[in-house]
Amino acid sequence: MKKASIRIALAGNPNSGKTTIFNNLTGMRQHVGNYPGVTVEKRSGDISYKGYDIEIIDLPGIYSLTAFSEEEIVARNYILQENPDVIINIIDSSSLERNLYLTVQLLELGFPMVLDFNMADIASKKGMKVDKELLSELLGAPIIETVGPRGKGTDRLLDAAVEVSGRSEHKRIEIPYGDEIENELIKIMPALEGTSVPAVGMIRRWTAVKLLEQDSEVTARLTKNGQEGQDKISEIVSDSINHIKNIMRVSPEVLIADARYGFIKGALQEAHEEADDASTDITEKVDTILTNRFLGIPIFALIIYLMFQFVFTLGRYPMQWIELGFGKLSVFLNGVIAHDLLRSLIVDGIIGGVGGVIVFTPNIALLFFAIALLEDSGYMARAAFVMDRVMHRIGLHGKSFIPLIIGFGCTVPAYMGSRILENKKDRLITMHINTFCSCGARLPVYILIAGTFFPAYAGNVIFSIYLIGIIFAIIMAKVLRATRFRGELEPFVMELPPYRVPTMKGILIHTWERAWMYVKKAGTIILAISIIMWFLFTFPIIGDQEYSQDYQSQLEALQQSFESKEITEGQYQDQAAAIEAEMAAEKLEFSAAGRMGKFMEPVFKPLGFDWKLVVASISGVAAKEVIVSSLGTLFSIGGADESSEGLQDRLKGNYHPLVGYNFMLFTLLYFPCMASMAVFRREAGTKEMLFQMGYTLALAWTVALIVYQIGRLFI
Amino acid sequence: MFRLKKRLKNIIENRPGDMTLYDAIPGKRYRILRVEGGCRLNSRLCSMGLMPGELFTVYAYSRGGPVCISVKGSRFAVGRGMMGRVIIREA
Repeated sequence: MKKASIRIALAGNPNSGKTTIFNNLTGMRQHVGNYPGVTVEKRSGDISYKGYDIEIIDLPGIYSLTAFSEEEIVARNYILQENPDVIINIIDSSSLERNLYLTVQLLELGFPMVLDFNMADIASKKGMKVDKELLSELLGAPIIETVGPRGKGTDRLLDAAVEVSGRSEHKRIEIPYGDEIENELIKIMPALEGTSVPAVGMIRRWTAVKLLEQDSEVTARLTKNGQEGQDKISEIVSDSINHIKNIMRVSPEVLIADARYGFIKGALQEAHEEADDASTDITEKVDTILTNRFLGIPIFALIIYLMFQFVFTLGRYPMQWIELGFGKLSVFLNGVIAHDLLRSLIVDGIIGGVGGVIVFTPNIALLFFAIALLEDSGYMARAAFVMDRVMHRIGLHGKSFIPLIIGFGCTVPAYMGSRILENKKDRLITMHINTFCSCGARLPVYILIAGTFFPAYAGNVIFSIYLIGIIFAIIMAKVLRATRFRGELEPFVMELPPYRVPTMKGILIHTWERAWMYVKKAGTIILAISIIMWFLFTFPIIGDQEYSQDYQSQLEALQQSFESKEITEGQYQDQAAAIEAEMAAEKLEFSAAGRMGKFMEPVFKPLGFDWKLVVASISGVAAKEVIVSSLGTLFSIGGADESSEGLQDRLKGNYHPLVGYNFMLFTLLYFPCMASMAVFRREAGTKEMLFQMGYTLALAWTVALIVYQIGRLFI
Repeated sequence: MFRLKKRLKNIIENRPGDMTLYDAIPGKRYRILRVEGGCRLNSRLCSMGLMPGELFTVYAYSRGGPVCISVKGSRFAVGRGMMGRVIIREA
């Protein structure tokens, strides 16, 4: 019977060209989401083909169906629980034996399958020949050859999938595991009987094999069920494992793998002609240069430098256009909206907040363009290789270096870039220390403070702040690894994919997706936070009689003296601005944010901060560069930027240089802006975001406390 | 499964000259004997095609690791922590 709608899951090894096939199949009709509860990305796309509505799900790239990584668990659970109508298994034809290892495991589950022998051109160039018909018969699934980058074979793939989904019977192959394993399977399988074997659709034999492989998830499910007889099963299984180890002196998982490879070799022997393996690969030749122990790091540094230039130099122009656009919009709205508060909400609150975040979109897009280029060309894996020695010392993976470096530009793309780390612990540690790579938005604060208190050594002082940031990143990486993210640094074995020319389509899809995700975020969460911040800084509104002085009559008097020509226009404007600035400062003091500052002042007193610095730090949550303009308002200098002479004088008059330095330290260490926190939450969940905020705040407070209290002894 | 036992025998028995991946010389061919690690690690390596008995060459390295090895047309970077666990023998 034909089905009107078909669900197809794509499964395959990392680097098998799966994403390219997925892009070919779905075009731009893709959605990206996360699998519930994990950070693994879920991609799907809907198409209609020859009257069928087809949903295509791109499962994460995996080597096996053993549940040893988040990706493997996600892929396996999807297949077992969601029962896709067809699985298309994408296989790198130039590395058949290895790729078929996953295939064999999928076939064991007995799902309808289509085998996509991808990169058929490379394989045939290498002189490999496959008797597709024979192999297809041996494996019980149709084989379609494709060339991903050129879009060849896409239709035939869909045809085959449709055809297979309409079949009523599917062949399930059974791998002979060899007498030693089979004997134990015979013992385990009857014990499973009667216990309602966990996970629907799991075949008993399959479960027994997984138990012998010590698959953590299947084992956990069995014991979690609290079944009668589960102790007995565990006992039988551990007896079996010990027995195999004793007689074979090899653990069962290796024997099982060996049997699977044996099966594959057997099938290939009949149907496959191996290439004469004489020519050294081009990839290996390039690798000897790019991963060379002397050249590797300089080349990597150069590439990162170029990437930075590309992202931040090229990004500056569209950024300016966006800023200009928002500026024009503000001016326009200022003229149109008559209501004062509404105007302030829209212009200062919403456009100021959301606009400040949207402005980074070109940077985000360019960065992900660059990352996709590095990733798809195959260089990213080499970069990880080259940096691994350095990063290993601080307990991190070589790949962590890339998001950390990006963090010096902007923390938002850095968090998003952490996705290149597959291991969850590595990824979270990298994200948690990324804030110490001081982002570009904090620089104006340093310039203001260092320029104020240490004019002669400003450069060195700022450099010291950056250095302290790096030191804290290293310390916290070690601390986090030893505490919250305890555990082995994932033993580092990584496939180095062959170098390839990336497809423009793939890169553009990737770039578009990220940029759009970011814009969407700005339109939702950040919009909400901006409005909240505006309310905090605006309400309650100070009444005329609540000002400490009668500014209004001062202004009127000033105007009169200007009209009677007692003062020049310049004098009038200066004095009026001064009065208005004082009004603004009092207004801020009266607002909820100002009150919060005053309320929290005792907590920050030991750091040498008064309520104004507290308020400035609170406003820094919106964006770190806002600290400068808040300080300006707080010290009643209208329109402050980092070189405002007046603000510098006032800061100097109010604080000791030690407090100034301390304030820079605090700004460096406490969590980055709300845009990055929103991204953090999406990437790692609410719990991790709260941890990030909590621990950086505690760290910033403690460090500033120690520095101030010790420093005080010397002044 | 006599064949399997015989094949495994070569791999299981320690012989003088067996070493870890640390000591591999670039360009020479070696055989993977076993990996000293838990079932997780072993399963993962097996699924990547790094099986006991497989032949490989180190084709790029930096002193003390990591190294790049090539196994049957696939290439892998093996990190420092890993290298000491991979027992190999000259082929």
